[in-house]
Amino acid sequence: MHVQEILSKINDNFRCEVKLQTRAAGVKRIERHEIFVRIPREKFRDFVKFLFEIQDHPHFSVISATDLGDKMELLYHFTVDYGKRNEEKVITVCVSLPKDDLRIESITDLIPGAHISEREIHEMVGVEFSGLKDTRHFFLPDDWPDGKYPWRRDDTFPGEMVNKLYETWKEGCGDDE
Amino acid sequence: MMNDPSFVISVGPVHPALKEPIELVLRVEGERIVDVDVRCSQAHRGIEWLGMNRNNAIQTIYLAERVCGICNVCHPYCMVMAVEDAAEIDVPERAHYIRTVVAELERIHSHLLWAGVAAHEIGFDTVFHYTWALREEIMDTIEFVTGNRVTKGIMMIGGVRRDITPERAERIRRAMRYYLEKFSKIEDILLHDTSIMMRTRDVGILTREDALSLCAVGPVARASGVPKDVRQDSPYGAYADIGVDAVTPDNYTGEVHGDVYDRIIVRLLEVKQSIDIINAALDNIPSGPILWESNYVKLLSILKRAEGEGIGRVEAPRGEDIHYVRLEKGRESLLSWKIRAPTYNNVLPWIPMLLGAEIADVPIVAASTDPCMSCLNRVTVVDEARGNEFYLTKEKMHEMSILKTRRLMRNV
Repeated sequence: MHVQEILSKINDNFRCEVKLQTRAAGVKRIERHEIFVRIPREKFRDFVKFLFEIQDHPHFSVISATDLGDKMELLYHFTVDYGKRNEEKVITVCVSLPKDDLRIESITDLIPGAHISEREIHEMVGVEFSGLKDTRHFFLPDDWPDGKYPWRRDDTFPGEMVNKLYETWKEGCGDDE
Repeated sequence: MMNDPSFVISVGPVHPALKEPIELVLRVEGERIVDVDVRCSQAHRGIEWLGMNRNNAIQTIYLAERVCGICNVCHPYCMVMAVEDAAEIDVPERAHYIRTVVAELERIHSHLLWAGVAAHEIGFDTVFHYTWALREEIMDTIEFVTGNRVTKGIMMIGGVRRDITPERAERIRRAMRYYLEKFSKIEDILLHDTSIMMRTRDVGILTREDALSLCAVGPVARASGVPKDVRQDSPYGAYADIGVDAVTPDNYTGEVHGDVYDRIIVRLLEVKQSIDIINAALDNIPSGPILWESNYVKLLSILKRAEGEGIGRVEAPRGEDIHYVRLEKGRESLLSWKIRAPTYNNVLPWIPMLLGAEIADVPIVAASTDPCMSCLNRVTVVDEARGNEFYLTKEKMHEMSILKTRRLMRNV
């Protein structure tokens, strides 16, 4: 599907902010396209289902998170039209969640490959994924304290652990005191 | 008498190939694996956090370089691409070519390293020593070209830090001739040897359907017949000019099994593909500057004033690597930085690969996705029903693997 066709389909079906970034590579200046879609939480799952219309198996890469103060932005990076030369497009779906209500629907039933990423965001940011069955820690240790989220820029950030890391690194610091 | 005949074996967790250690918890009935769980919760180094809080954008390149010892080109490559994307920096053409050459040198060394490890896992140590001896040529070339044997320190936002001079280009060409000469011998050893064939054919199968739904990447996906390669699908650097086609096993045998043997085929053919790419890049390298801005102080101040978000995607030796970067005006470090290494997506495919396999196949199946195998250093076997616990060391597991090879050889 041509990138303009994807954009017009998004505009027809969803009322949301769409941004297209095009970059060129090599001497031939062959273009690659990145589409950023900022969509309300209620429409998010419909949008993921829409990606299946472009390609049978949209490729899910990862979820990124940005702390913007009062809200948390989750970015789901997908690619479609892979497997064909110069055809692939990156579609990034951004969903803003208010800090006091960090909930979103899981997509693991649609794309099982999103399992690890949802668990990661659950433990690093504290987002609740409704429908995600396995919410055990994946990257953080099992005895990680509740309510501490390393990727947030607020009170829940475990700052005291960072300081301890520095102290153990400083040679002899612990013994002298 | 026990009612439940199954045992739990935990494999791991120390595992330096990923940015996190990994542990496999296997439930076995006799020799057969009936359930698999993967756990990474051991040591997260927080590299992304350092890039978001402690270091500025240029310092972060060197952090990215240390995400992985083997993929120390693709991570900084991805990171600088994401920053260039966010700050709208246009990289000079010559720099695109140099980046491509260095990235392909990395692929050759990584695939040869893997071939050695895979041979070692099935007890074929002569091949292990042979491939690693071959790999020395590429390591020496990398050192000659970049000044460093392991971490190359060549990526910079807006270009590369060192040029490929005619003398360095000649050294690379010499190495490529060397590998072309040796290629048929490596091919013969790895693809036509009976014992390798027996240990890898139809072992650790990942179906095309599973590869797609679990979002597998790189040689693992391609060996299952998914022609997915960032260099082909959305080319960056000089790949756009050269034109790359994803390597799938049917190119070689005419069919796709999705097993360990197919993964060997894909990686081996990719070594040859890399040689062709490097030769093509050296033949067509344009002249001109290698940096968008050679004054780093100025570059930093431009980045500090930039605002935007960008994505960098690179085909690492293990598959698609993706970095997301967000820049905020007035902020010295990155506002947001997310690294997704290829093995992250290749962990879930272990589950269908290992189900139904034997314990002696765990080393070669796990190694076939190309993570580092030191995770096998400590293996605990828990007999749940009896409450016993005993340890299966890496050496013991390795021995089991070798014994299986010998057992199979007797029947030839």
